[in-house]
Amino acid sequence: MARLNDDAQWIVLMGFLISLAFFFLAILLNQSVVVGQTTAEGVLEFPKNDIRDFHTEVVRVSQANVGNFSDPRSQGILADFQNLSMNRKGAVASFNTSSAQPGFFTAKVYKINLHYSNGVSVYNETAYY
Amino acid sequence: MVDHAAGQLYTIEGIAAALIMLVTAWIVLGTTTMYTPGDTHISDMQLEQLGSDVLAMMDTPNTSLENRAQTSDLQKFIKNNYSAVSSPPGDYHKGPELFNTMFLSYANGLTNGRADHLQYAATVYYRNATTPTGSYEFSRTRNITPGDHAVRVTRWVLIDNTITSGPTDYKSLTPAGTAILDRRWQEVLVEVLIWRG
Repeated sequence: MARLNDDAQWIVLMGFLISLAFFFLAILLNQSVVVGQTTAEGVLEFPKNDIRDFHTEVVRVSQANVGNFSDPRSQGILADFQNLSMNRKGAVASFNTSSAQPGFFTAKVYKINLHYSNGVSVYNETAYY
Repeated sequence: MVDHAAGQLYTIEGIAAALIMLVTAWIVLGTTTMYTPGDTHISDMQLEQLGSDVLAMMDTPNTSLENRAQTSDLQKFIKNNYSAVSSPPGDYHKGPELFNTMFLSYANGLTNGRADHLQYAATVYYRNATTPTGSYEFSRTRNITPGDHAVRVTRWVLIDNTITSGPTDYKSLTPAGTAILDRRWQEVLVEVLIWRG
């Protein structure tokens, strides 16, 4: 446009700015299609629901044995967990329940130890109730 | 160019225009994203989370877990799967039927008042004295076909199979009429395949 016609430069400038705005919106649209993909992959990869479920069940087992922490029935249940977890999920699962009285508790409480590993994610937990 | 030093502005403008056109083409081509089958992680994740949540809701007792007498609906459904020798009283055989109703009402509920179209097939995996891992079909809406893209969700269920009450001719949790679960407290694994169909 040099020396051709120097009029209407504002219009040209505005047109340029608007086209930039369109570029920006197009990039947003581009990214929105696969939004959440990385998150979804992470969620599918990490066995969050398995670990939560396992934790819930161990608490349930430990509390089903009210007043008798060494109930032999929990031995069969441990084998259930180990067998089914290995065969159906390819994961190592193990736990034990006991009673304990850590220094900061005034009475005996349930103590559970969890171990879960599917080869990618390993989870260990010691919890008191 | 030395003795005829005119027209630089045209050259610069030409280069700028070329750059702008290249950038435009690059961005326009980049805005197209194909949603390929490889990107189905997103809907898989949502379906899997939905299924896990449904099973978690069904496995939550009405009151605190600390009360050992409280069992969840899911525990009752799995336990009440006695195959009847004669017509059974009460709900001893209605586990799969009640599971079906509750699962579908939770999974298919939409906020707009209409129902979704999720299908499922639930299987129970167990361990007994002779089988490290056995299974039996528990409940399903229909058979899965090759085109269905299913996700798998699981839930551990603690059941009391010591059978201290109830009719004595209900052997055990026996879909086929033979006792397959040991008579003890045990953990079984409920696996549910969920797909949209």
